[in-house]
Amino acid sequence: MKTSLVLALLSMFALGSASLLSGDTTSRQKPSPPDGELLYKTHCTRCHSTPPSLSDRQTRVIVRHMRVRANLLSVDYQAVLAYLSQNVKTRD
Amino acid sequence: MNRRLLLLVRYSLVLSIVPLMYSQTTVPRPIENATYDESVPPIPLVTGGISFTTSFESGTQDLHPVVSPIFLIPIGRRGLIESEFEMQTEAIHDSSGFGPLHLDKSLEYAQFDYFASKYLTIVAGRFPTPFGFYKERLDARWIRNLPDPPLIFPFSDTSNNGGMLRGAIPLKGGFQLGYSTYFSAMSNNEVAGSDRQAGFRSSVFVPKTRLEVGFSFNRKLGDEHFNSFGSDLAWNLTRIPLDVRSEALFSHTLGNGYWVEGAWRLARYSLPKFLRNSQPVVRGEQYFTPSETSAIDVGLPGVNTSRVSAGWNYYLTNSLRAQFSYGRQFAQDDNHNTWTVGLNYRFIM
Repeated sequence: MKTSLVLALLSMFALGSASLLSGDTTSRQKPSPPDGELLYKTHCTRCHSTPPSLSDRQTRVIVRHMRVRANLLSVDYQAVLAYLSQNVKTRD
Repeated sequence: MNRRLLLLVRYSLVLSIVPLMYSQTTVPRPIENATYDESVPPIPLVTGGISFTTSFESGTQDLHPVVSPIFLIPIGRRGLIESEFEMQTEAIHDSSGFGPLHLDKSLEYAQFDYFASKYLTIVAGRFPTPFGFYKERLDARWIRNLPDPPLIFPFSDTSNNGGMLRGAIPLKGGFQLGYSTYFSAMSNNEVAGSDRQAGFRSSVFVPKTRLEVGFSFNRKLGDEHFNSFGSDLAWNLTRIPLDVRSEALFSHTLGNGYWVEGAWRLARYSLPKFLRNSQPVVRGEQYFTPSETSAIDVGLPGVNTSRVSAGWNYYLTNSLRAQFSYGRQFAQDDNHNTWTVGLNYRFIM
């Protein structure tokens, strides 16, 4: 019975995941430029509130920390860092 | 067994069907041309949280201060040392006065992260267990929506001494596959103890709908070997400002349970400031003990337990939050109410 439970759970998860991997036509569109603000809202504020204003150098280490904690894609990490770096208050 | 099977099937169906509903939606992936001045070096800093909560149950009052500083030290362009140390105490007051005070100290994590490639981060040291997402992402007092963690949280409220590989990989259609796989050695250290165990968590994230579905596996390798399985869901709805989070635990040895939580972000509405700074939260959860008695005690309830909780968070500033919550617990011979009031402060230095 235990094996059946495991297999049931794994196959259902695989089913859901496989549907995401299935190809589609729109995915071949030309990639749009990174929207750092959108990615920031997508990845950061879905777990916590907006952080206090940080300096550019503080921002870099916080975003590096969150790259690990939130399993950010490398490209998203760079876009969020670029967005926040361009919008930081000058506290250095 | 029938109850566990039903629970498992229900929960897994929800986790599987929701992504199917969104499998036709796509979002173009950004290209890698984000720019920032790479000559500006990151600096070490101290961040973390300070929390004080007080809970009222029938005949007792509980005072619970927690301090948890986090140290972040960047190493070169690809490394990071991060560490969190947590100190807390619990003063329980009843008809005979305050009980004895004990200062609990624990090293939540002290890890070195090396960004080996775009898709791989190598972690060594002491790190939180990536079983579900509550421990890694929501456990911080200034992040969690309700002061009390879920009933099944004690299972994943552990840290590991060992190594971990983790990262995220872009998939077709803008989806993201996240993964974490780890091994931990046994340690009886009072502040930094760990179990001998191995496991992984994998997840699929849909950025456009802000939906993440995860699956976790853990195998204890100590004196008693057993497997545990977990599934989790986090969905930040975009049409209505509602955050839905859920986790489930399935284990022949530890029992089964789940929690589902909803939190509203009223800041998006055109409301008076008082309401825009507010966040109502509700959570429902159940835990079922294993059918066979086990000698392993990780802090899960000893009897079948259900709990409903409702809370209200008020953001005085982005870094200072007041929390109020009410919970009603249903268990054999132990139905009781809990009222909690708290303050959470997040700092960065």
